[in-house]
This record gives sequence, C-alpha cells and structure tokens, in this order.
Amino acid sequence: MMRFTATIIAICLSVLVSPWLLLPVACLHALAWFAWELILIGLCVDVYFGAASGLPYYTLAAIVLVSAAEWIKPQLLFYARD
Amino acid sequence: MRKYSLTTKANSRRTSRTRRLRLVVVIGLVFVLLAVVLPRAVSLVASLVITPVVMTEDWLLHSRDTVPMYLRDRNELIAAQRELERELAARDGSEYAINQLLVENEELRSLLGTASTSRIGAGVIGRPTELPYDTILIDRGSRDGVVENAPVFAGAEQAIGFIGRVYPHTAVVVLATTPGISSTVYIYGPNIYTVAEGMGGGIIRVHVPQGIALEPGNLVVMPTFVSGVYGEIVSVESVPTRPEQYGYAALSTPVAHLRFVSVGTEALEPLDFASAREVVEAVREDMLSVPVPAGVLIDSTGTSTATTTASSTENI
Repeated sequence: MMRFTATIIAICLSVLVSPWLLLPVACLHALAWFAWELILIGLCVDVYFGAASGLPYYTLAAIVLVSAAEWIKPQLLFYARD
Repeated sequence: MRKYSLTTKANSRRTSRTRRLRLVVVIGLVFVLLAVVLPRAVSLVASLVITPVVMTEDWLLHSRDTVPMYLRDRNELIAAQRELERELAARDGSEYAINQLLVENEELRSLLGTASTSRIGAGVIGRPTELPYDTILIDRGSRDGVVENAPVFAGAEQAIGFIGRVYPHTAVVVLATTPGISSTVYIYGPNIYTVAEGMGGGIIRVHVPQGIALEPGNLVVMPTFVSGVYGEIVSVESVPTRPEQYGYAALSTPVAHLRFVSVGTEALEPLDFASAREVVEAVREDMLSVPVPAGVLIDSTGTSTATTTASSTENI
C-alpha cells in the first residue's frame, strides 16, 4: 500500500512540479524499493509530452537513478543485514 | 572459517547487486523497445496515466466549479461569506461572474469568428512552466477532430506551433519555441529569410550576419504556418566584434498566459519556396490594408472594401 501511494505521488509530481523537486522524491522511492515503476513513469512522461524531444530524458534519468540506487544500497548500513 | 564466511557473503552481495543492475537495464530496454515497437499502445498507457493528473490540476487551478473556486480563493470566500449578509455583495459576485464569462466569450469569438479557415477552439490546460517539456496541452483531442501536425494559433492569425501528439481528449502542442525546433522565418524590415531556433519559454532566436538592419519591432512570419505571423523582434543582441547578431522574437501574449488557442483542421504540409513567398506576400498585403467602410472608400474599381496605404511592395 505504501509503495502504491508513493507511486501515485511520483506520477503526480512528475507532471506537476519541476524535475528538480521530483528528484529527491524519486531518490527516496528508489532507495526504499526496487523501483522499476519509476522507469515506467519516465517513459509515460516522455511518450506523452516529449513529441519534439530527441532523447527520452525522463526514461534515461529514471534508469540511471534506479541503477545508482541499486548499486548504492549494499553500501548503506541499514541495508547490510547479516 | 570466519574469513571464508565473510568472503562468501561479500561475493553473494556483489552477485546480487550485479544481477539487480542488469535487471534495471533490461527493464529499461524492454520499456523503450515497447515504445518503439508498439507506440500506440504505450501512448495509450501514457495517456491513461498522465491525463487524469493534468485534468485534475487544470480543474483545481482554472475551473469555475464550486470546489476548486473554494480551494483557490478560500480566504476570499471566507471574507465574502461575512459580507453575504448584505445583498450588494451577492450582486457584485454575480456581476463578476458575468463579466468573466463575457471576457471568455469575446476571446473565443476572436479565435473562431475571424479565422479565415476552419478551426477548432481549445482551452489550454497545461503550459510550459507547468509541464515536463516545453509544450502546451489542450483540452481537445482526436474525438474533437484534432489531427497530428495541424497548426495551432494563439489568435486569429498568430501561429505558435503544431500538434505533436493527439490523445482521445487532449493533445500536445509542440511550440515553435521548443528548444531543438528550427523553423524558416521571414523578417519584415530587413526583408530576409532566415532560420529561427526555439529557446523555450515562448522565445525564438534568429541569428543573422552583422550589417543587416535587425531592429526591435520587426515582424516575424513563419510561412510554414500558412497564415502565420509569429510575433515581433523584441530584442537584438549585437556585439561589433562578433560576425553575427542575434534577434529574439516573442509572442504578444506570453505562452504562460495563454488560455485559449485554435487548431487548424488539416495537417501542415511541406511548403516549397514559391508557396512560402506567396504566404509572405499575403501577410504583407494584410499589413498594408485597412478595412474602410464602403461609403467612405473612394476607389475607381468600386469593388474593394480595403485600401492599400503604400503604393508598392518590395520584391522579395
């Protein structure tokens, strides 16, 4: 339920606010879960609005963000469970 | 034993991390591939996800319904509630609403009534600063007859862009000012064709060699939009030591303040140079003509209702 709510919030923020405000929320989301849905949201934004854009910036940013989060998770203390 | 155990755990963690990273990349590639292979299906999903958010935002920010009005102007409504004890306040409120509707009506009439070609009126529900990309979102879609690549006008003759994507109830307008968009323009004054590039935020930039008399107020026309006056040069950046100068053109109404637009019913088609010259000439004639009432106009032909205030037009 938490994840669903966070996803809805991410969808709303992706349309309503500046990408720089969305970034910290997306970071938290990616650290909390394996956030493949962020990539889907990025793709939706690119497909919907990016008619004139050469590159799918939101999708690429989401892939980089989720990859970075997955890479950094084991380094963080609260993920290093024995 | 302990060392072996730690090493195994570390290896396992690394393997797990690599697997997850690969999974992220695979998921990303699958999504992008889907968008390429099945654009309509992905577009439909995107429309289902994004449209409700945009519609809700517009409803909250611009609707005159009771709830959003209440949320927007809560403090004003609280103040008005105190004054409702007086009859005058209620009447003022009605007058305000009527005036608002009259202004809106006039805007819609000017968009549709004076247009020479068939147009579809549309409300703007998303503007560049509110949307992820430098585009406009309108509340008319394929169900209202909007087609891809149709020109979009901010007034009767002022072209601002074209339809980039069409959804059942909405459409995304790609602006001539969207970064990365280049367009051929004609500038009155120096009377030159040049290339304009979108800068975002309703601004296009033209760069021409030094020595060309580019001045603020020069009218900019986009022949590809057929009736398309874009706007006028608002600023010129000219440094004598540089080989070129820049001119910035903007719409008379800032894009962020657009409330209504009209959409052509037919898609834009590639224009050859001869057609572009015809468009430029037609705009020039419009600029030089003034509508004069039939009784006032003295003309030997006796059929025209407009007079030309200049005797000749310059060859281009």
